[in-house]
Amino acid sequence: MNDTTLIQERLHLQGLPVYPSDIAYIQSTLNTLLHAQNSLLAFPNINTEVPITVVEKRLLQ
Amino acid sequence: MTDISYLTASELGSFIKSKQLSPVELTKHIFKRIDQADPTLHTYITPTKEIALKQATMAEKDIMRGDYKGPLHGIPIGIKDNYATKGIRTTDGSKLFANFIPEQNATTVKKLLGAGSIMLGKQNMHELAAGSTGTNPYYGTTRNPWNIRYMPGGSSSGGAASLAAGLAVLTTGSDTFGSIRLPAAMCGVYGLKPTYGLISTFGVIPTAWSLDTAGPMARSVSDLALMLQYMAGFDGKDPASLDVRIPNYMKNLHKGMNGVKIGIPTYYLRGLDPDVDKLFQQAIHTLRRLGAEIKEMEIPELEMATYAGYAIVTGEASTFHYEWLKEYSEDYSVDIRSFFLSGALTAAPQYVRAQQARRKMVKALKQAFSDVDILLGPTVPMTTPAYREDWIEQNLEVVRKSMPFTAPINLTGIPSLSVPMGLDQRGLPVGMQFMGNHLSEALLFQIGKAWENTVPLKTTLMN
Repeated sequence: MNDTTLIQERLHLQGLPVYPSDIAYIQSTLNTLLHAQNSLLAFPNINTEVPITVVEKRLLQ
Repeated sequence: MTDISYLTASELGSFIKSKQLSPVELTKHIFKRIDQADPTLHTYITPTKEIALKQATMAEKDIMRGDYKGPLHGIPIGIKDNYATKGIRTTDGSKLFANFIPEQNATTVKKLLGAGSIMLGKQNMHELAAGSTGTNPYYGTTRNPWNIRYMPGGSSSGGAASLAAGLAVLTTGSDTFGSIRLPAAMCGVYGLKPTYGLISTFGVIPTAWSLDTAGPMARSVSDLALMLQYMAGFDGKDPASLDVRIPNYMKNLHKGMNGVKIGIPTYYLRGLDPDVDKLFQQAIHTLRRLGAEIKEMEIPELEMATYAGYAIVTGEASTFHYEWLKEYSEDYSVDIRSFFLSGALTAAPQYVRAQQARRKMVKALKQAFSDVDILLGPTVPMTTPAYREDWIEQNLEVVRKSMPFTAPINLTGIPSLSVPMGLDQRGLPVGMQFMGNHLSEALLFQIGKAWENTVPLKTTLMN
């Protein structure tokens, strides 16, 4: 998922800039996220939680 | 009269009210200090001396003829440069907004100026409020006044450093994943990240909508309470604004700490630098002596804060900047661009899962607050780092270290008050944070004031 080529391709597909100098930092951030994702394993039923959303009650009135 | 550079707004206000201190002289005095120190400290991006002196002259005339507006009348304040200011450049610390001149004031700016305060200028910040050190390749890197080789913390770097250096009396900050509390801790001042929605963010350039919180920074708890009194309140222009009664935040300031139940999540005891650990243990001892009942608590849900923080901050920030990243990619520094681009590469389920994690964290904290009045932890686990040459890597590293301690508060929307805890072995400030249930700002001020009375910083930068 965090392979250099894959990152470059995924940025390119979205029309986002690809700077070779950025890739290591992007990898670092994505790896931090990936590692932190392990914390979710302690909560196997987290998929049943209603996500906090940005839909405001006032919109629904 | 004592040196006015380090007096609090509350102290200066009484001199101004009784006409012993001229707002014009006070403003001139602070600008003299800015002229001397800011070429080194870089706490302001756009000082507004001419406007400030006009406002001060008007305030003085009003006060002299008996039209005193209240405790902020004639008080000089710094405004973080992501708050829109009518007719005054608002850069968000970024090259992207270098020429952005808003047509109206942010709601908070309007309120503070309406109360008669004097705007000293637009203050420096970490680019786009998306970093935690205070580097800024476009407007100058802010330096920590305690030692200029060290970072002041960010993103509200200019606000915190200017307070520590006596270059402002009050400042505004914004906090998406620690941007008020972290620089407050590193500069030895006080900062409040209020309940989400308590202060309008209308006119504050977004970083991540669901986490962004505007808030006050000051040299005392009573000054924070004073500022919040004016900054808080419903604003129909902000979809997240809370329509709640605003209490008198000054009322319970002197009630003390006796019998207050404090919980320390064990999560906040892990990975502390030795100096932070030592000062925190001393603080616990002092709080017990003040009458607080303290116990450790297990809140396993906090472990998800890093994941949720990263997924939401990068996801929302990349959404706000998506088109600009394509068109003006050169206008971002590498640390911020790569941070935002990583958000464009996370999957939608990761973002929504992070919002599910938030729900779990909110529930866990609600449970915790049924058992204790407040939670306590160091503001960040590390002592203030010196700036390194590899500042891009360092910026990402400081975010990585601080996010677990600061983000839980933004993710759950609760308020947190960062206070100075003491000085580390190098003589640099270290902070801790009192975290309360939703809308418990008055209680945080009460506890914070009792702590402040112990004089946690035995020295200041007055000289």
